Amino acid sequence: MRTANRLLDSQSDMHSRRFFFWILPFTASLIAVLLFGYGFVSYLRGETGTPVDFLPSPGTEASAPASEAVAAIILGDSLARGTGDPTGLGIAGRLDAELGRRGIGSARRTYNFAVSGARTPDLLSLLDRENIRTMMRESNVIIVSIGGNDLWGGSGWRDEAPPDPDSVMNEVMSEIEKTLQEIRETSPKSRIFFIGLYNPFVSTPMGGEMTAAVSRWNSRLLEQFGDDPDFTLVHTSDLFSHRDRLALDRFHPSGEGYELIARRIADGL
Amino acid sequence: MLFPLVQNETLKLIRRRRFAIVLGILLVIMTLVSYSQYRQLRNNRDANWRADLQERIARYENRLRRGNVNESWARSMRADMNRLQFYLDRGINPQEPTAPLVVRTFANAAGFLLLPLLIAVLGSDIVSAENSEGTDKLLLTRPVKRWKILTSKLITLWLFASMTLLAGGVLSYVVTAPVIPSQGWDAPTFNGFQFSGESFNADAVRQLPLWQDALIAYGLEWYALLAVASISLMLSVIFKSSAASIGTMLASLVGGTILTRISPDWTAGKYLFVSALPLPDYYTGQAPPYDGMSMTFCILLLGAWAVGALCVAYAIFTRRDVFG
Repeated sequence: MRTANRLLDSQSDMHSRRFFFWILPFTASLIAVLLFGYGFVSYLRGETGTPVDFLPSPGTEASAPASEAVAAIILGDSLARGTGDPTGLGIAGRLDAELGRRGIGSARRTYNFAVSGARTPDLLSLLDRENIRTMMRESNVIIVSIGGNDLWGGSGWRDEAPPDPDSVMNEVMSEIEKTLQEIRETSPKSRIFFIGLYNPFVSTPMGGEMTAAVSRWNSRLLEQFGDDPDFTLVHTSDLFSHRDRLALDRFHPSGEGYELIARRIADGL
Repeated sequence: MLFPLVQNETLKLIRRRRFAIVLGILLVIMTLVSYSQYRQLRNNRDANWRADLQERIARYENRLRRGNVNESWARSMRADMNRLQFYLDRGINPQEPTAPLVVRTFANAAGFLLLPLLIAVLGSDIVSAENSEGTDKLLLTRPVKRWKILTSKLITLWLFASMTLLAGGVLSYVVTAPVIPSQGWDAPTFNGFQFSGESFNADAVRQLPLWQDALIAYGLEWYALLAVASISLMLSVIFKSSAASIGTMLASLVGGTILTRISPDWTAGKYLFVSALPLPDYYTGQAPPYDGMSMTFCILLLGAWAVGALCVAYAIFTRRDVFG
């Protein structure tokens, strides 16, 4: 009954409180209803704007990095991404840490645009993106790891070598040539670090044959691109040939593996 | 005849202080949001938004490639990827923190759980409280038709739902404007991103200035909230305690959302009102959890739920025994 009394009370002093208890809330909600009702109706009537007249922007003015400070990006496949690294840092994160330890000036952290499982066509279409081009122009170190998935493919050389490894290599090599050409055109002065191949299957029956193929591949890379003074092949096969530095998936490097690769890049800077 | 009743209901609702609590909750949350936006603004001063967006796209792609994501997550990731790429291609930073953008984002961010819950808090009270305070007998024995009583309660609830949304929008501007840039109402925004499977149709995209885009997003959210208000009125009629009706609403909001996320194969889930609730999100370009949920479908579905809930509410309320 207490509330009922309160209700009766409120009737008596309603005039003094009329504003806060009625006029204000009612006006506010009326404004809200009109405003939102207008919005809802304009959606229903399909007044959701004009077709986009923005052309893809021609790319903003890329600010060239200060020449002495490292500004790196990393592109490519799972190896570039950092798959298998329990810390998730991968080459990019570990390189930043390593540069910091060595007191090498770096303008910013390393940007990681790599995608696990990427093959050369994937990377080529990424390089078409205006934004990626801008990022490349703003960098002076470009780290690339690509080609592994094209070579190993889904088939997995784990069990058997492909019928004709050399023809596969030729095909992939020409794709990589296209890729690196594209990168060079966009960013003529940057240093390119290309991550070499290693043999993850050393301890399998096919291990010996595979190691030979990997070495052949790496030497072909050097042969092909070695005349570019700013191209560096980052050797990795020795890191994995006699020491087990593979991640749990027995394919990608472990944390230690990534750490050593990052150090090699830092050595070169 | 109906007008004084609405007036009376409004008075009671404000007296019960629930709306003050709702405003308080909004104020606290918006203060936290504006602080976080301010921090983000400070941290991002040197960051490169192009690189950040590009990295986000790469991260999405990695998660998609890894393959063990369920279909509804995959759809929303693909949708977001395309949206971000669209902004990147046109050199527009979609996340530059400005107060108008916070206002715009509020419709999406709060529309999905916070606002429906607040409406449920208001709505649960409107009938149940009469019961717990013992005033229902007083009310029902008056010479007023019962449907008029319930209609006045419904109108009042709808008015308060509208006011809550407006208060959220106004508060989000007032609280954030002093600490982050307050201009930018005419910044370009894009909507109408369409997806069918993996392909993305950029031709369907439309552009609007932010203020107009915000009006539409709020309009859609408002419609969704009216549906929520109708459903919570029904719950309030069914349950005699406010706690039970708030609890049921909370459970269906959270449970329904989880359900659509964990079992995307159970496609009947698209008929839950929760699946259609985030209208502003779908308008902005997020993918609904199930295939075949167009905006029209979502709007009709919410309308159907609201009408159904109101039918149940009226049926029970007009027949209930006063001493039951």
